[in-house]
Amino acid sequence: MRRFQRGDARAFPELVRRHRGAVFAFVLRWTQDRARAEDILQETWLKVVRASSDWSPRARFTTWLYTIARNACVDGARRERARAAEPLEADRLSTEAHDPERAAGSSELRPVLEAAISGLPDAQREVFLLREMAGIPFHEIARMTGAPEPTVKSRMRYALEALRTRLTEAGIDAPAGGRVA
Amino acid sequence: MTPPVSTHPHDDRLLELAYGEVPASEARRLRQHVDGCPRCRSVLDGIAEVRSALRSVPAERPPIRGLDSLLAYGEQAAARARSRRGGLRILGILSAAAALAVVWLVLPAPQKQAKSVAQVPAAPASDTLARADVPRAPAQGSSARDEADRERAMKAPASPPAAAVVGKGGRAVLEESRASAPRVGEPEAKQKELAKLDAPADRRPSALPPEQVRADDIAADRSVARLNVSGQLGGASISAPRTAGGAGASSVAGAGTVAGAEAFAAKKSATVGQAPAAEARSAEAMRTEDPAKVAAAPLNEALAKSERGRASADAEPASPAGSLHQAASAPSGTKDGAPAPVALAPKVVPVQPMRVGMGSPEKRARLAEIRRQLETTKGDERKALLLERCEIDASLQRGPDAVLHCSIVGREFPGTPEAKRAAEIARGFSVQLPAEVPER
Repeated sequence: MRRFQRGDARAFPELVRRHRGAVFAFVLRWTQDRARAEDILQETWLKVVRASSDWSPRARFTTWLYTIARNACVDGARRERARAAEPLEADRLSTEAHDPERAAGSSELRPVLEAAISGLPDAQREVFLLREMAGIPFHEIARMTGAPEPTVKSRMRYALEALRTRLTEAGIDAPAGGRVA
Repeated sequence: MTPPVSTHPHDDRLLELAYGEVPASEARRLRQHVDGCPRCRSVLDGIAEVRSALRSVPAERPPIRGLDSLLAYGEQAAARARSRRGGLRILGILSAAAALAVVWLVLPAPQKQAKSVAQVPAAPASDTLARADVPRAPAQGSSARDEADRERAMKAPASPPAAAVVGKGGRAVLEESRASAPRVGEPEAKQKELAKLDAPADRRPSALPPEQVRADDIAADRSVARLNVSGQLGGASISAPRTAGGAGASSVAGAGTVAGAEAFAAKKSATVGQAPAAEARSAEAMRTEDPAKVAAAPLNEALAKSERGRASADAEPASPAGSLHQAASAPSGTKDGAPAPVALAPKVVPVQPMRVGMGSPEKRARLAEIRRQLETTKGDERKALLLERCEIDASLQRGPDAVLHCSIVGREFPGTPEAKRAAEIARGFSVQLPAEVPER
């Protein structure tokens, strides 16, 4: 990021290469809607470019990046609620159904896991995704979300317990790597 | 070896352990406890189970769509950053050189004056400068006046003063006169010569009292701060002599050579948002400038604003500044009634609004209206609205918004003529200069 700030043209593609996939996975799991996730992904990276001069090396780039992504997700969800369009689940399923390549690549575990994650309360899902997908430490999540650190950890624990319960209910026993029972 | 934890650690601690957020020494102790504690091991296993399941699902591939335009946008931003840095470096060097020149001009005169005053309190400065070079000068109060009198006596023997040639040999007097006569005029000549090097005739630092230098410095500094807008826009379009003069003066008052550039940089951020006119800005330079960058001038504000939602951005009230496009194309009129004279410019250049992406009020109002309508409309009407928003964004030079909104048309209505048109706008936007897009 520092190189990009200095005007190194090769730095930005490198940043995109390193982080775009992970950010997309994060946003997709947050929104549970591929089309919306794609929009938010693009919005996030455009904001990264626009605000690049604001970034300071004191902050971890990933934390800064995922803060932008998270805010974009929150804003997107707000807009979506206001729009009150078709059910999101229908969107998601139809998109999935029209993409044979992706459908073929999905394991049996994926839909169960995605459903379990989307079933989490917003606050828990947020913490879970920031920690698990973005790899942001709890104290930084606390700063990002404005919640006390113990609250963040509690949300994480509840999220993990809920997911574990859902996986068990779905007959998925994954102690050694997510095998489908 | 540290003793293992005897009581159950808090679940939060186990959570931190699972995510590697516990210091190594404590992690060792916790693990020792977990090894012998079924309850805690079960907690950790539960966490590991979920994480393992999550990892076993391959990540979704990110879309290719939008990647080209994003990379092009990033490349433009990098180019702007480069030109900004290059401009600052040149300014730093120029200001350092100018400051040295000014310091060299200003400082020696008082120093020499002080030296001569110590030797000959009553003598005029121009005279004492010459006398300071004379190593054996007696410099005893009134003897200087006597010597001058003696000198006059030697040159004009017909009218010798009363106490003309008393007590000193002619040779000494001749020496004295040789030493002083040609040198009396030297400082002035030297000053004139050196002053020619400093281009603007009205800014002769050595001729100005310190207060005036400081006042000039402030004015010059302000003018440089104004000029820097063009520096950011056009990269190398800042005129060197003017910049050098301004920055040099700045560093005299600031008592630092590098401080000129730093002060410039500091003022730069403060000035860009207010955007006074930059007469050195060329239309070409403006076209190469990214609209979003200028639009988001104070970037903190821009980020905060964009995070508050695009709704507010679209419905934003008119800024005192207008679009860069207008600034480039408008004649010398004073739009918005906000002219701002540029300090060092020979003529007053009217201020044109710098903020890009804030086009006509009608367009902004229409954008807000479209936003509202998009919340409820569907089908063809929605498709038309989305395309219109895409086109308006493009015409307003809102690069990122245009790309984003145009891509939404394609996503929601793939294969339609509107989607094709939107893709064309977005594609063109990423590879062409922003100002060219609305004309397409």
